[in-house]
This record gives sequence, C-alpha cells and structure tokens, in this order.
Amino acid sequence: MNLKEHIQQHKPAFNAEQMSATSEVLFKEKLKKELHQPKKSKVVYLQFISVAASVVLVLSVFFWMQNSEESVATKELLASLTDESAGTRLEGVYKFDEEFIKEDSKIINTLLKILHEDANANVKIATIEALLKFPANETIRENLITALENETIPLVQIKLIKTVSFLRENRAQKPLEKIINNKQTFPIVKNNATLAMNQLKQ
Amino acid sequence: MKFIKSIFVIAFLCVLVVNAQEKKIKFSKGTLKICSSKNFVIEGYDGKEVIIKSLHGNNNVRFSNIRNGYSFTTKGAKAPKVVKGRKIVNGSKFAVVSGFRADSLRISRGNSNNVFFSRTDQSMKNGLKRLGKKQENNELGIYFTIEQKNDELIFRDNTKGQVVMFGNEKYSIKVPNSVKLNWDTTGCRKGTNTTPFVMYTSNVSSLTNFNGEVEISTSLNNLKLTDVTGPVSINSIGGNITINFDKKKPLKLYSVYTNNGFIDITMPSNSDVDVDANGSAIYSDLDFKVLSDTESRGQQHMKLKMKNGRVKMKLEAGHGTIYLRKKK
Repeated sequence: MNLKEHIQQHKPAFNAEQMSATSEVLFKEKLKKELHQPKKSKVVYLQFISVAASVVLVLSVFFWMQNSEESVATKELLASLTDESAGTRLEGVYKFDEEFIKEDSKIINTLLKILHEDANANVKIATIEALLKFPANETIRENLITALENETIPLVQIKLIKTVSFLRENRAQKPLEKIINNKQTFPIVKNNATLAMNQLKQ
Repeated sequence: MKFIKSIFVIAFLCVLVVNAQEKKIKFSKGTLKICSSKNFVIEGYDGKEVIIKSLHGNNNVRFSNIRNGYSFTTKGAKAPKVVKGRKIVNGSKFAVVSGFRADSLRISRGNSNNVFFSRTDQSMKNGLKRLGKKQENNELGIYFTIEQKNDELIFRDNTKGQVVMFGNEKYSIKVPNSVKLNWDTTGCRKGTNTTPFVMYTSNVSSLTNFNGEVEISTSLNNLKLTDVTGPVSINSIGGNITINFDKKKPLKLYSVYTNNGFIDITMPSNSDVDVDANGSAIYSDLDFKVLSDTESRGQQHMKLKMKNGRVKMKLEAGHGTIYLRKKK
C-alpha cells in the first residue's frame, strides 16, 4: 500500500486528528527560515540605512545652517568695515566689539588695515578698543606698536599710547621715545608719551 | 623755524568788507570738505547749492592781547606808520587798529620782520569790478580758497603767502542735506604742530538742521550741533561739544571722542538711544535704564538705554565731563 492509498483509507481519522502545537510552531519556524529570511534582512538593512541617512541629513542641515549664519554675519560685518561711510564703518567696529567673541583672522586683518589706513580718527580709536579684546594676540600687539610709530593724528596717538601702556608693552619704548623727541608732536601727546614711558620703565 | 618765528611778529590787519552778497556753488552730491579754523555757522537745507555768505562786518579788527599761545606785535617791523596808527583802547582786552577806512589798507611782506602797509584812494575804483577769478571771492568778503574736484568741494585756509586773514571772520554756509560734510578745523593738516596761524576763536562754530553724514575734527575749537540727526563722528583734543535736539531726535549713530573737553547733550525724553559713555563724571536728568556702571582710574563708564536703544551714542570725554539733559 502506497502512501496515497493509506491516506485515502484513513481519511476520516486524518480529518478528526488535530495537529500538535509543537509541530505547528516548528513548521512555522521552518517556513520562516526557508521562505521569509532573505526578505526580512533586506528590510531591516534598508530601515537602518534610512534612519542613518535621516540623522546625517538633520545634522548636516543643522551644521550648514550654523555655518551659513556665521558666514552671513561675518560677511555683513566685513562689508560694513570696508564701507565708504565713516558712520557705517564705526557701526561695524562697535558691533564687532560688542557681539563677536571668536578671533576671526579675516575680521582681525580688516581691523588692522583700518588701524593703519583709515582717514577717520573715530574709526581708528574704536578699532584700537575693539582689538584690545584679544590682548594676547601677538599680531595685534605688533601692529599696535607699528601704528604708534607711524600715527600722526594727536587723538589717535594718545589712544595708542594709553593702549601700549595698558598692555605693558616694553617694545613700545622706542616709538614712544621718537614721539617725545619729535618737535612737531603736540604737547598733550608728548605729556602722555612721557607718562607711558615712565610707567613702562617701572 | 627761524622763518616761522619771524612770522609770529607780523601784526596783520584784515580789511573786511561788509558785503551782503552770497556765493552760490552748485553741489548736491559728494563731500563738502571744510579745512579751516575760521568761524562757521553751517546750516542744512533741502537745496542743490552750497551758499556762502560772509558775516563779518567790522572795519576794525580786534586782536586779543591775552590770546594763549600766540602774540601779535609790530616790534621789529620797519613800518613806523603802522605803529603810529595803532592805539590801545583803555580797559579793553583788545588792541584795536584803527584810523583807516575800510578796504583802504594793503599789506605786503618784505624781508623777515619787515611789514609794509600802504593806503590807496578808495574812490578810484568806484563803479568798477575787480577782475580775475581769484579776486572774485575777496570782493565777496570770502577769505578762503574754494576748490572743486571730482565729487569734493574743498574750502581751505589760504596760507600760501604766510598771511592768513583772521580776527572776527565769520561765515554762514548753507549745505544741501544730500551732501556729506567733512569739517576739519585743524586745516586738514593731520599731526603737524607747525602751523603758524591757527585761529582759536572764542566764538562757537555751529552746525544746524542737517540730515546728512557729518565728520568733524577739531583741536581746541568749541562746537555746537543743533538738530543734526546723524550719522555724526566728532573728535577733538580740548574742544567742548554741545549737541541739542530741539525739533528732531537722534536717528543715526553719534560717535564723539574728546580728550579733555566736555560733551553736553540735550535730547527729548522719548529718544530711542543706547548710550555708551566714558568720562571723568556723567550727569543726567533723563530716565535711562542703566545696563552697566563701572569705574576705573578715575574714569566713569556707563552703558545706558532709553526705549529700545536703536541709535548708538558712543561718548568718550576722557578727562572731561558728560552731561545728558532732558529737553524741556
């Protein structure tokens, strides 16, 4: 008797009999293993990729926004620092003094250019004050000394003299001496230079 | 130096002509640069011309005998006629040179210390007009040079002949509001202390009702600004700066630096300002919100705010005092 005949003969018994719970579980596990395994792992992989991509996207948007905001502010500041109007340049310098914390080399270089070349005394004085935010910056210190050596506007000279004295910058003694010995120096500038020289020598 | 010293001994007589005529220059865009220590009364207006009018009218020119830093004497000058014509008014602080008709005196300079004065018959030029473009301004009582190049109109003290017209020279200038004003009372000679003739007049130069951008540099001259909305930048060594807002409010940046003059500002109580003040003392009757209050090395530093603090006012008085008054 083959299997087919055996089943046909015992059909009522087969229909009446319940499949054991264990075998059902085993069958389902086998079925999952055989048929659904590859499909499931692909879905999990895709899910992982999409989550990672979203995180990367969110982070990059966040950083891009941060960076772009910073560069817009810097760009605006640089534009105002190089504007034709002294009022706009002054607004830029005051803004940098009050709102900018980081040492941005591009901004510092623009301020140093103002320190040496600007025609307006107010802009120069405000710039010296703003540069004092970074007293440890060697480039700034060196430029302040050079400016002291070359400056001719009395009020700016006084500001520079007070600044090098405040910074206790001993290298400023030479330009101070030059100012003191210059016959064209305004008396009030000479007095300030003498005072600063004495303070530096102490 | 010897040459400069020799200039000090020149007693110079101005011959100032009363002349109500005005000089009008078409100029409505660019920078009006005033490089002069003379006394100016400048006013803004909505026009297209710069209008100059001389306000000096005295025939006698007064030299202060107590003027600091400069003395005027004819000692050593080989011009006996001048000495003869000079008389001191009793009890006056001034030496008044008189005895000449207006516009009848001429001065010329020979060798060092030699000053020559001569008189001409005034009636001879009646009905005639002085020819030559350079003489045109003199005829109008304008004793400074006027130069126009590119987008700049420049007024400059004429120091070329070692003789500067000074005394009670005073000018009224009307400036279009569309023009930028750059006013340097040190004559645009930055940093040189060799100028033999700098006129420190006790008269206050003023700027009124101007809406354009202003840059002012002074050494010792006092300044008064009324209804100048800004942006304004002023720097002075020892000059006093008075700023009044009578019919207007500050609208744009004010930046004032002085080494030892005072800064006196009167403004309406509803001004929208952010004041950053630094001086030997700060006084006010305005209702400010105090943002910070520090003192160091005898300097008071305060950050004050009214309303939203839209207009920045940076006031640096050095050894001077800052007064912030409420407009009444």
